[in-house]
Amino acid sequence: MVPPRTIIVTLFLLALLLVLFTLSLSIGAYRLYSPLDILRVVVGGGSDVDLAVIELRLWRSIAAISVGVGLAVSGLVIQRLLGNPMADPYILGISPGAALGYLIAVSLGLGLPLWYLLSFLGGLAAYSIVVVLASLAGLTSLALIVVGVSLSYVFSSASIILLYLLGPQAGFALSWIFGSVAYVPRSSSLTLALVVLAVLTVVVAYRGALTALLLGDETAKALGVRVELLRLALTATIAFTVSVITAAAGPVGFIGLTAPWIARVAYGADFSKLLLPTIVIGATLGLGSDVVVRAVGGGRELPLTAITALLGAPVLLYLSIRGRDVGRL
Amino acid sequence: MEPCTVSLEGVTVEVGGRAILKNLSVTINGGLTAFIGPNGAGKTTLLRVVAGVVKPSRGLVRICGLEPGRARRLVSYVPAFLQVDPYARVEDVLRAYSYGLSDGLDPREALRAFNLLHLEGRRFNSLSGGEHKLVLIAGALARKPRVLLLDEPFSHLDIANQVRVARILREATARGVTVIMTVHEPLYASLADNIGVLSSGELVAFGAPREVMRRDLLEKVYGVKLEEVRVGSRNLFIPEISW
Repeated sequence: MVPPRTIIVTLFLLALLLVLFTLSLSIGAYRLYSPLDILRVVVGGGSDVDLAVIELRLWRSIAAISVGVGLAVSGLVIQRLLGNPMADPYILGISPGAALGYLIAVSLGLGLPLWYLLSFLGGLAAYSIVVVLASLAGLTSLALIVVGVSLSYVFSSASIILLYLLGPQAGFALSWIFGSVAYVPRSSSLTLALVVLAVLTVVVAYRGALTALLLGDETAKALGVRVELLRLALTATIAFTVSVITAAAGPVGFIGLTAPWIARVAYGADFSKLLLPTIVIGATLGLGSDVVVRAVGGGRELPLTAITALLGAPVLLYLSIRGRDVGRL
Repeated sequence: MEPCTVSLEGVTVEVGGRAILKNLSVTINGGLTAFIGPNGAGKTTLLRVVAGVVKPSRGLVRICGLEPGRARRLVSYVPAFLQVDPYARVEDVLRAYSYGLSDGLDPREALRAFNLLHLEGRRFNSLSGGEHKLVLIAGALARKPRVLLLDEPFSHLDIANQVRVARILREATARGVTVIMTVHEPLYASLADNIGVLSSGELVAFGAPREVMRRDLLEKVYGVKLEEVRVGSRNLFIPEISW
């Protein structure tokens, strides 16, 4: 039987997501729309400009939801694969690698499409280096974490040097580094949504093995899970997804760590039961952060990562402190 | 149910050039088998080889005539200790044991079978060592295995729970399950139908408790002086401790 608390949390999150979606269509630099205005425009009662603005905000909302869901599910999978509740999708060096690729493209004076391409390739290259080095130690979760964290610092250091050398030229690169879905074109929003749907399909296909991995590598292997192959296949899938997300929206932090954590507190650690709540929480955090970015900037948009961290960190701190009593529930 | 035979022929396991199991051969025809030996003798590695977790460098392993990779559905493995996600509930751990089962596994049924329903909804990491062990055994047996492998099933248990686990294992063998365990306590080893003694990766003795539980052999294997005490039909061994 589903506990009443779980039902209440689920209904609250779905209601919150609906409210945020409406707000996301309402709020923006051009003008505020009431829910009635939005309805009127959607059924054909508004001007062409109004329709274009709401359509733009709709695609932006899709991008924010895709970023949130993609990072949240990636975080859930990485935490299970590495057996570490503090892991997030960036622990494998993907984000710092993508940032380095992006800044190399900016430094070389390449055109805008190549900034995104090099960012995507940087993420994948960083992951590949981490996996190759970790495999020398048997591709264990500890090896992946140690190599991933170490190389993340190396990539970040290189990025800092490039930013320093770029000086005032950094300009637009800075807004990307801090994360934003404001500049994601419509085609990229669609790509993001499709990539996230694809990764969800892969994760659903492997949910049984990911559920068994709760028992640790050894027992999962005894049950028939091919742990090393699973770890390689799914980290590669996550690397691809996070590289696409990072290339489009920059390194958006905290969602990949916080969303799965909140889901586990409310729903336990059964992977199959965690997937849907993690998707809803990820969507809520992604969309909610983007709404706050637009709402409190006073005409200017705040960096997305600053808001995801400001929203995510208190939740994480509260849950961690409250977690002392969780074991006795 | 006919008991399932587990056999190892010339099994050697080498890790980093060091032999952990050396040319080990043994055939277990059902019942309850205990492997004893000092720390590092290769007991856990032996279980892991049968569970298919570790591939032997040389030699053959057969479970009901099948190699371990094809016998996953027939074998359940209970590790000595399990640290899981801090938010994992008891049911989550039991459900994780259902991997590969077409009908799944009902956590409530698994708990009810061992009178553990009061643990439903509890965080797994908040349980006592004994409750941990009982939940894991409940999960492993809920898979209805032909072979049950347990690494130190009596460690961290109070006397009442030790008796409880011993009874559960004996009931499992009565149903035809082949139970293989590693133990440190000679008392619980002597409850087994067969005992294997491992020393530095070699099987130095295998047979009925009366044949194997000899003071000279145990003193040689463990490297300590033992005092032999007869209690009922069993010989118990107490180490001589000089301070």
